[in-house]
Amino acid sequence: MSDLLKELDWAEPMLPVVPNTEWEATVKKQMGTIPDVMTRVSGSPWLRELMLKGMRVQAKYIPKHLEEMGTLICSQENACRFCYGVARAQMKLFGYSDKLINSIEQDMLMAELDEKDRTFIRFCRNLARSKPRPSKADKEKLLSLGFSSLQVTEMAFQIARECFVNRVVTFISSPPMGAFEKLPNSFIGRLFRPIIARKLRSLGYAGDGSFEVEDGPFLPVTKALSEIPTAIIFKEGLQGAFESEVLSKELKILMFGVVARTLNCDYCSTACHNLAEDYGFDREAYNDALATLSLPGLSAQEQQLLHWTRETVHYQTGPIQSRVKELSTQVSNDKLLEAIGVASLANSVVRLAVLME
Amino acid sequence: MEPLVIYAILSLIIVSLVLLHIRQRTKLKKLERLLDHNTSRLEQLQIDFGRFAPHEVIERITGSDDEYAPTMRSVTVLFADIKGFTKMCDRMDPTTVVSILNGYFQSMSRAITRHHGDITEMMGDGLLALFGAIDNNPWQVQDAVQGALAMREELKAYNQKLKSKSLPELSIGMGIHQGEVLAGIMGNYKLSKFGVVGDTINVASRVEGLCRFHQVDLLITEEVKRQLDHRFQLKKMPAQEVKGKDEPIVTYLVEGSSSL
Repeated sequence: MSDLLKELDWAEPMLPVVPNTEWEATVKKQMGTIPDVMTRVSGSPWLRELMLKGMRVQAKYIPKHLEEMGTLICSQENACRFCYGVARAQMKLFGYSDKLINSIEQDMLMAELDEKDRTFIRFCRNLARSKPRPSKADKEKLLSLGFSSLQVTEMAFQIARECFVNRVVTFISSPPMGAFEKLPNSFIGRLFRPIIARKLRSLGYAGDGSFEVEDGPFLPVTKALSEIPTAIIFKEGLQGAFESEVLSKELKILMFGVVARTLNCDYCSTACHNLAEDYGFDREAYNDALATLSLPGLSAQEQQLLHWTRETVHYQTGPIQSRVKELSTQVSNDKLLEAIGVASLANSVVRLAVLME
Repeated sequence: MEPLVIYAILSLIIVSLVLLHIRQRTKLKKLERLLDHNTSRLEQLQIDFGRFAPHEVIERITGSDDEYAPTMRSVTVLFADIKGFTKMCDRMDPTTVVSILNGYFQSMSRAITRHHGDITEMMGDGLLALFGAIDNNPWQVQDAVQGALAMREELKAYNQKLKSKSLPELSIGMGIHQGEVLAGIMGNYKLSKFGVVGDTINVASRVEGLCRFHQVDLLITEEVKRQLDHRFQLKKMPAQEVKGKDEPIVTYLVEGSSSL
């Protein structure tokens, strides 16, 4: 096991397993196994669908090795013990050496890469970290180095997607997939590595081609992604999240607004204002709520969730998991699960707005 | 040439190559071990360094080529000081004083970090906390005031502990002001630190000084008051002249907040 895996903080699960035979059969069919996290998100239809596809997305335009390195780097940046363990094991099964994986981990690979790949890796790290978010100049540098516009869009989508999965799994603190992590070093794993790798790749989600976007929340962002077949998951996720009635619409809009404001994204802040108006949320009340992080109409539980949203933008695993643990004693499981999904989605959508600037 | 000689030469070459390979591998292993050792040392150094500067600053200067050059930014500044600390030092054993101070800073630090602030300096019994200096924080004013109210609560709990050990209780003064400062890494190649400079810092320090004059524990300026909402209970204090300012400063005592 890598030293980094041993070092990552990880708590006990925050949400219980919700048995659902039909859902588990679907997961088994699509993923070949039932990861623990899928049994803990089963209570939220839009979130579980987004996770099921989001965990298996395959890039169409960017080279395989960059896609896989990007996934590993992103889960490392977000210190997600579960995702990092899976990404590491997967890379080994795909044929990457321990030496190469270690050099990615320790940021030593940079010296061996060419300028193009180095800039790609830097973009992945910066977008995942978003301190600050990559600028228009960073995006233009990628284009000047020969990446196509579609590749840059897909890159940003891949990082935002991985950030989404990392957040959901980290906030729930789903137990790592120990057996899968051990597979590459086992006798069976070594013997059948190429077959397992082929099987794993075949379980990926590739989407059904480009998609139409005519309405829905954050329309320009979803429109910008419409040429990336797998990016339909964000369009569906946003629609599902806003149609769900577990949390009030006001809270969900405010959660997006809080993330946009924390990440200093003018584009998303305006989009949130517009969304608030579309849903009949009074402009002044919205501005006041965002400035004070409180709204008279919100329940005490929702108020807690709004405050917590701030902490989901930049976090350290140990403290954020302790905070979710604290919340789990004050907020019902269905609301907490829904809030975990909405906050994670907001973080990804606002990061994606780099495409609009 | 005799076949035996050819075999001997070939064998010698093969043995030499094998030996060279083994030597290179041993050397490589040694280098890898050295690299691992240095990586762990570097990580430990980063952890130790974390006690001397905010985590975010260390992350930024070690994780990139960024020198963290000072830039102007809008920051909320909180100054806190223990009242009558010098007198207390004269009466007490230095080890006890240090132990009291360490416990105090630990409690205050807990309150400040819980409200998204960073302690950037400790000067004797005083501390300087910044909100919004390192990361973008649109709620920095509310955070600073709530952080100060949390410090008030933490101090109450800490005083209970001191009392149970028959040690003197502490009382503090806190001043908060908001404005533009120059923030970043300052110094020379021998000694640098993350710091802030600007009139905002001086005003916050003067406001903290006014706590003694008004005999209160938490004062804020007009700029801070303007950005607070109805949840904070404030009491206007008489305007008071301070060193370095032409006009008297109006301050407000923060009595409490309904959100805490």
